[in-house]
Amino acid sequence: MTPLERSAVYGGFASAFRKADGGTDVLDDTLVPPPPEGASKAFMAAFDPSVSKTAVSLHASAHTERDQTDLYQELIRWYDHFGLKRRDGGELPDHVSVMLEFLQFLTAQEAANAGDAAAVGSLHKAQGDFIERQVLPLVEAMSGKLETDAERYQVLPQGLRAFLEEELTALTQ
Amino acid sequence: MTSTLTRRNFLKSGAAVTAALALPDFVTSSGQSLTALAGSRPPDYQKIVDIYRNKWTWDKTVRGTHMINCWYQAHCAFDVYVRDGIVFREEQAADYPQLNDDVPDMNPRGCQKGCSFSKRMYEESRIRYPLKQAGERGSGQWERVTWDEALDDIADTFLDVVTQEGTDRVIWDMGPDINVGAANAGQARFAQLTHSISLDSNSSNGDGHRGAFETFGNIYMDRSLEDYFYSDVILIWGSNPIVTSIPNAHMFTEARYNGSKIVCIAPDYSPSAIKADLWVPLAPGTDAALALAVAREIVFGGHVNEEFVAEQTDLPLLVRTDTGKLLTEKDAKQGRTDRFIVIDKVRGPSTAPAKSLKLGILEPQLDVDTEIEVLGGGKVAVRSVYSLLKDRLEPYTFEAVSKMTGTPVKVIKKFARLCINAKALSNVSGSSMNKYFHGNLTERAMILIWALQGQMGRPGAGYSAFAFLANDGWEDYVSGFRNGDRMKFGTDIGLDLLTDLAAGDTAEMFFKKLGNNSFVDIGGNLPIWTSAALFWQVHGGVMELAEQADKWVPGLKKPVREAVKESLDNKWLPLQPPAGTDPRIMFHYCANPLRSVRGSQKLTEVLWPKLKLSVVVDFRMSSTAQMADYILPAAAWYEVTDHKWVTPLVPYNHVTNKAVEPLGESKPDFWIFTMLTKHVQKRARERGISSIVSHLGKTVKLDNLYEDMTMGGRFLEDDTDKAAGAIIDASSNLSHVSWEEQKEKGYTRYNSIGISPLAIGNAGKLEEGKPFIPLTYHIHDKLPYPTQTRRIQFYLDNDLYLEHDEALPVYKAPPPIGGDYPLMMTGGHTRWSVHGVWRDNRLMNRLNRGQPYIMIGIKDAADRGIADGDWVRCHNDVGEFEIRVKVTHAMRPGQVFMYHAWENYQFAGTGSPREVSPSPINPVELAGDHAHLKVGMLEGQPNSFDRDTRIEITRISGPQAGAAGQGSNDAA
Repeated sequence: MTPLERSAVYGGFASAFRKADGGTDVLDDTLVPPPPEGASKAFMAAFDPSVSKTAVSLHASAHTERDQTDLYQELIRWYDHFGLKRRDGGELPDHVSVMLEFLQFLTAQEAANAGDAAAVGSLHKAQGDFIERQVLPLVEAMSGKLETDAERYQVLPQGLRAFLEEELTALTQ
Repeated sequence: MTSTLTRRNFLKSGAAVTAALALPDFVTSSGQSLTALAGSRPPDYQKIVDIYRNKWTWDKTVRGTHMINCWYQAHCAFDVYVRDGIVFREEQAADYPQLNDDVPDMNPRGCQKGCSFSKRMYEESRIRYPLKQAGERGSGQWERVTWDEALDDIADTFLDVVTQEGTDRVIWDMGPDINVGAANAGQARFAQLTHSISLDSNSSNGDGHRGAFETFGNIYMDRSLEDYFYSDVILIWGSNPIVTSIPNAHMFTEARYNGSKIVCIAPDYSPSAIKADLWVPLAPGTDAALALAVAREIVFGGHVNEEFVAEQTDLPLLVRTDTGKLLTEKDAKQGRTDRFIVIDKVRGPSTAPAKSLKLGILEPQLDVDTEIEVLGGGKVAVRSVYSLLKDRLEPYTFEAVSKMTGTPVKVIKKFARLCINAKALSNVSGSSMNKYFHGNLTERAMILIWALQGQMGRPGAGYSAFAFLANDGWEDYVSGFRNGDRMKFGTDIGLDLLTDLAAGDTAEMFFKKLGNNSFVDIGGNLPIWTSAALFWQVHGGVMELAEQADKWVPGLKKPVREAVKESLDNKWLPLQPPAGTDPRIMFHYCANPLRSVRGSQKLTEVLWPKLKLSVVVDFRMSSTAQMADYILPAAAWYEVTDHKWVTPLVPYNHVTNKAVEPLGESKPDFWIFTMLTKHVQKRARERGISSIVSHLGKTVKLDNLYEDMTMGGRFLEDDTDKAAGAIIDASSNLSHVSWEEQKEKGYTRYNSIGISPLAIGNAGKLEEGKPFIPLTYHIHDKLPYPTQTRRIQFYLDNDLYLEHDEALPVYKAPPPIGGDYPLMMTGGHTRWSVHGVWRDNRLMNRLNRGQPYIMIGIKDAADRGIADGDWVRCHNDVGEFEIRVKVTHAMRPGQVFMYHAWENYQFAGTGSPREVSPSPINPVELAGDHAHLKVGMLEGQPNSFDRDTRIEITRISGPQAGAAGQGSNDAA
């Protein structure tokens, strides 16, 4: 996959974890099935702990013993280092979609700097560290706790995890 | 799955792959476009430390506080630290000034709950979007809807109900977190304009201070914290400030440096008892007996302050022994029924002063037992209240009371000596006593200790009841600033006040009357309130749990149901809508009745089926939200600018500033209520509905509701800050400092108690550099009290009180509510949450067991084969619940203790403590048709009780069927 294609996949997953029917225009149907009937209800049951005791939080702070202030600060530092800041009204920095948007950005930047080996090297290291330190632990935690009958939401974390693992493999090679 | 994927499989065939970037959650720090930034060369990154090379900076710091009803300590100023539109942390502001050189300052202020709100507001239980129940109520199935969808649907149901069934079918369930600021003003203005009903929840919460109300005609009285420095004896009685008033508690400790003795009267060895100089242990609910023993010692030991008692109290007034009624001027001669008679030592029978407490040349005898000529001839036997009180106190010897309370005689004597020898005696206000069935009697008995000795109205001395202090511009806002400053609660105070003052009433009486008027229809210009406790009993079905009350409570003259009917039929207590008129829409705002109402299981069984719509406005999932049709997500306290009522203990108006934008699609309360009027107006116009006539017979304009709500566009939905400022500007007691300055500083000292019905009862002067002392207008300035006798009144000649032998304070043993079971289930507020707000907070739950538990003493546990951590079934004749046990040496035999406010969904097994707490109404609290025993703002209503609840506990192997399958982060 090209960096832009990878960026699109990150964007697709970010959208899929933000909205019940997100990412359908980007992610392959065989990987992420179309939204079920009553998608909003099923999405909330799967991913919104405020309404469902069995839901899995999409926020990293819910899956770690780490202090929230410390976690937020590290994430903000990641984003800030690469010139990004939270949009007013945006999701919190530890939401999986925000992390994936960040990777969407880094891969887009990689595409734009394809001829600059040092820049690409820098971006690869950043992507690898970010996936390993931030995103993958969250997705692994989510995958282990998910209870939902909706196939789309059941496979979504698994699909993302597979993609991240492949990304990590590629980035460390 | 992983093994079958190729990297290409992830991307849909034909998916657009473009270099143009649109990221919903990011912008660039530089202000350039995201695409442009992505097209630029990245910064160097080699390893994680690279992101830590720059010094961390905050975007801004603002003053904030928490719009929670933590009551006595309300509130604490915090510095709120913001970066990237997120609140990262908060820090105690700790710059409250020292009032004068003699007293300690209040710093630091703030507890662990406030210090962690930045975490709480982002926790998983936060509601971020409007939610609509997508299955049966309580099914746990929700769908996200837009604000327009939610508000249109709610508006349509609202229009259906008010046009077809009446405006009084719409109920605003107002919980303890109302702020008397802009948020609350938005709700109240909506309610007023539409003539819907708001519930006064104070007594339902068990905070009604009925005894103070009966005695002073008023519950509002407390001091500022610095005044404790002048007390030489401080009683912690019916409170637990080390747990519940953390920012205040250090002031009591500091008072000890000045020689103050702290005495804690409590059944259990509570955290406050541990810190006291003397702990007076007693059986739960026997406090009145202890107080009467002290009162007896004061009277029979010759310690009565006769000058104070003769002037300030009803003790010299005469009572007819034939009827038990106070002897009135009309009985004795031509005169008024609201003037009362004393025996002057020189002149004989004389009318007690009424317009002022000043006795002038009168020298009333205290101890009177004689006959007096009455109008029309003949004589009647009369006795003074003091004489009757002596008889009443006679049985309460130390030895007898020791048997009633279980307190050793020597401890009672020591306690009495401390109370009697104190130069300045004070107490720490608490509401535990209100939650006993006979809590009113206990409070009346306690007040005797202060009144008999004149321990009031001077530095360090006085009885504290209900702590409340509020701005007085709120009513102006709610009534739309009609008639300028002269309009309060729909009344032209200019003329009416002068009329009342000319008749001998006081401003306190006048403004309290305006509060009373809010419960009855006097013209349709008022917000309409009704007693929540009565509402839940009658409309909510809680009264059905009290069918066995005559078995539990000795001396009941009639079944509770009949007593309530009698009161309603006679209009002693108003109830809106009236019995038999079912509520149809409930807006739960700052309220969580399914968590808080004793016997709340009846609400879902009886009330909810009557409802066409249940709407919860909240920022977090609650037990009540789970049963709602809609949840409207409210902004959290760092996401909006507003201010909130406080207490005389900390007489500073506190402001929270909008530090960040509301999370997700949540909105400020003021926005929500204003937008609701916009949608009602829109749908009314679309449906061709113009106006209706309300149950008050007044016109309610529905097609112009938004225009009226906004006062013709003056305060639009996004104007929370402006509305909050307008309330301050209209307040006589806060407008001395501009709103902008108040926001910047975060707190502003009140310069007077103002004229709000919610505060005027404090009746004292807030002076620069001096602690606040309540009731000085009465004690120093001799203004009469707002009671029947215009004095501190211990004798209540209302028929209900006479029938139940409660005309004077008396000790009645706590009745076995729930049946004849051996353990008394008491309770109290917890250290780790204020109501339910932090109850499922992960940080707070790490500081305790993190799941519901009931505390039991070592012997009671051993007798039942129960070990620490065991699961038990708690049960009585009314219901049962399952819970874990904490075995503790701090609990006396026969007492078990539940910290309150666990959400229903946090109980892993069946039920909750509400299920064993039937809370029957105390019939004397149904009184009305009386000069001062009538419903008022936060007072004069039937209370809710749970402290008398009797249960048995049985060990079980584990929880039975789990609680409802939805909810937030259950820490269990």
